[in-house]
Amino acid sequence: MGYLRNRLLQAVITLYSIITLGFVFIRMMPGSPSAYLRAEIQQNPGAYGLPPNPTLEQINDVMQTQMNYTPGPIWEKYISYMQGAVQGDFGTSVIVDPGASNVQLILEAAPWTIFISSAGLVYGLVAGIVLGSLMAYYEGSKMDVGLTVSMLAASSVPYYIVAILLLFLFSYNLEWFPTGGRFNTNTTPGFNYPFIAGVFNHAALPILSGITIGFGGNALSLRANSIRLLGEEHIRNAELRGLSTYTISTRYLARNAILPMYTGIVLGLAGLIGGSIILEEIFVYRGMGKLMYDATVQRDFPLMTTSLIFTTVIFVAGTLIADFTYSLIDPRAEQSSMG
Amino acid sequence: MSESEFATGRPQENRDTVLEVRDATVTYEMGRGQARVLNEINLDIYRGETLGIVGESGSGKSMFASTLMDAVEEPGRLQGSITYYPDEGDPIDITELEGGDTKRLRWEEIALVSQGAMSSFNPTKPIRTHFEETLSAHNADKDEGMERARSIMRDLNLDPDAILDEYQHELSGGQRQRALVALGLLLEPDVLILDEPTAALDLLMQRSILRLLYTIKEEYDITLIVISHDLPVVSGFVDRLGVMYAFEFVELGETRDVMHEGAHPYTRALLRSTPNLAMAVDDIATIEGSSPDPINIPSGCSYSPRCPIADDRCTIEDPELIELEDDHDVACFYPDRARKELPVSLSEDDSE
Repeated sequence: MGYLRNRLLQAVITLYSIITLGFVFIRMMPGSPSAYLRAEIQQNPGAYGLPPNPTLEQINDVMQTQMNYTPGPIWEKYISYMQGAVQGDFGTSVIVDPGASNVQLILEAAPWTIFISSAGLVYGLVAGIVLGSLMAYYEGSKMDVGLTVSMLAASSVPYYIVAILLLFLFSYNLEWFPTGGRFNTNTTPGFNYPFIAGVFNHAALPILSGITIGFGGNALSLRANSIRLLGEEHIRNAELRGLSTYTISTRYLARNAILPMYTGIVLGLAGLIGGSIILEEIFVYRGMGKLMYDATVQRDFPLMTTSLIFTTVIFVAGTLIADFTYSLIDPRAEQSSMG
Repeated sequence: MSESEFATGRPQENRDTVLEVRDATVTYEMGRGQARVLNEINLDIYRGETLGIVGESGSGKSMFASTLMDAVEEPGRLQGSITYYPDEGDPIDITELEGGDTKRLRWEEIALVSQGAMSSFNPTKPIRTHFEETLSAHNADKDEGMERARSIMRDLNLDPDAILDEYQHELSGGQRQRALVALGLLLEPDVLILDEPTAALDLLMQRSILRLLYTIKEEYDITLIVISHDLPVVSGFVDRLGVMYAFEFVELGETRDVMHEGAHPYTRALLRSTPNLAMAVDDIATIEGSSPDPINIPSGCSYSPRCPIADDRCTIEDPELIELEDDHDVACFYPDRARKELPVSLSEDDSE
């Protein structure tokens, strides 16, 4: 149990450090919400009930009364934010969607991201495992060589290049898929066919680009793991003992070849909510990635901080789960890591 | 280990062949030519005997073990015949068997405890699963089979309740080796082949494993074939000894005869290069040269390039394995010269 306690403690420390560092670093970025707001007011003082060319005091007054902005040193803000966060109050967005609850914004965006990135992860994994097994089975054949080269190429091309190519080919040239968005704006959101079809239609290209993130690497590592296992004594021993090919390929090969990839898979799951900022930006897909991107570009500090907290919590929880469950699926890990 | 500690020296009459190997040759097609990794082996293995097979690495010992089960790995090709004589019923040519029959023969009649016992179990499954899988693959009764497994394990000084639920990495080297022997005996085979049963064990463990194997062999009435590179270890344990060099047998006979009256220059060189306590370090000889390439085996006698007494005839003509004395076969043209001219250093107490 000492191991469990230590890992939990480590997780809490990790979480706390990341949030604190994040809070500080975010506020060290050039530009700030207050500068942005001041510029806003200065450009259009009439809208805020001010005379043209307002004084600094007048602007600050408007910011405090109308925009709920309090000036103060960073440590004061840190303490007040953390006090709120511990009680579940993560504040409101100031620029991206002024006045909206950060948590609400994230809860609205996260499911879309989870949808496209989990589909990408699952398909990437399945494709990787199937191709990897085929390559290992036909090791050295023309197919193996061809696939190995293509997988290497596939995993070397960045997914955002793939995304742009897909967009160019399927959206602009062939016009099979929309160039952006999450659903068809002509449809009414709800459980009806046109809306759901639109959702899948819009998600197709982001998912396809997401698949390319993992599957080449998955296929190559499964191939390597399987080939290494095929040469091992226990496989030959199982053959001589007369076990069926099915038993050997599932219980002896596939299982043990996928094991080393387990941690990567769980971490991939943990990374789901963070999504891919670049991918969502390319496809104008309003998920977590796009939300964080907007918050960063517009210096919406509270929203950035809240997103950071959410993604960090989920990632740390994911690593914890990967750690604790690995020994359940691979008995060899028990002694070394639990000791 | 002193020689003949266990060897029974059973009477030669009424010997009953259990495995008959005729002209067994294994070849691999390789880019640079055909590799002959087993060369026209002829050998009878007798029921109930303990046969030791020794030779240096790459001499074809393990290949011979695979051949006895018709389990040569792809793309190797086995020619010749291997006949198995069951206790009852008609002889079976193993090489003619197909699919299900091969499966039945392997492990039910002939089992192999392969080299590398250290990794012969699936690392993510407990030992118990291996026994259960084997039983169900051969449609054997599971309860009865597991009861037998337990009793075999007890005979091997293993605590079945503890071992069965362990994983491979939780067992010591000696435990793994014994668990693997138990797995080999699970389906009550007639013949058990042990490939390097002592290779990864320390000296004390080697000795105790061999003692156990001897007891087991007597109790279960099986034929044991022990393959090893360690001549002194097996010689104390086996009834007959076969010496392999360059993919064929160069000498075969009663252990005592081979050890004391070895007539092949290679056997004598092996004995001479075996260190023992009574020898001065300087007297330990090494065998000059290296073992031949399976693609390019020397013409004539394959040992001739390294043999101190080889002459022109040896480089042209290949000596057959022929009977020199009773139950003592040698593949050499000059056995008498070998005995006279090539000294063997055996320590005093080993010569009885």
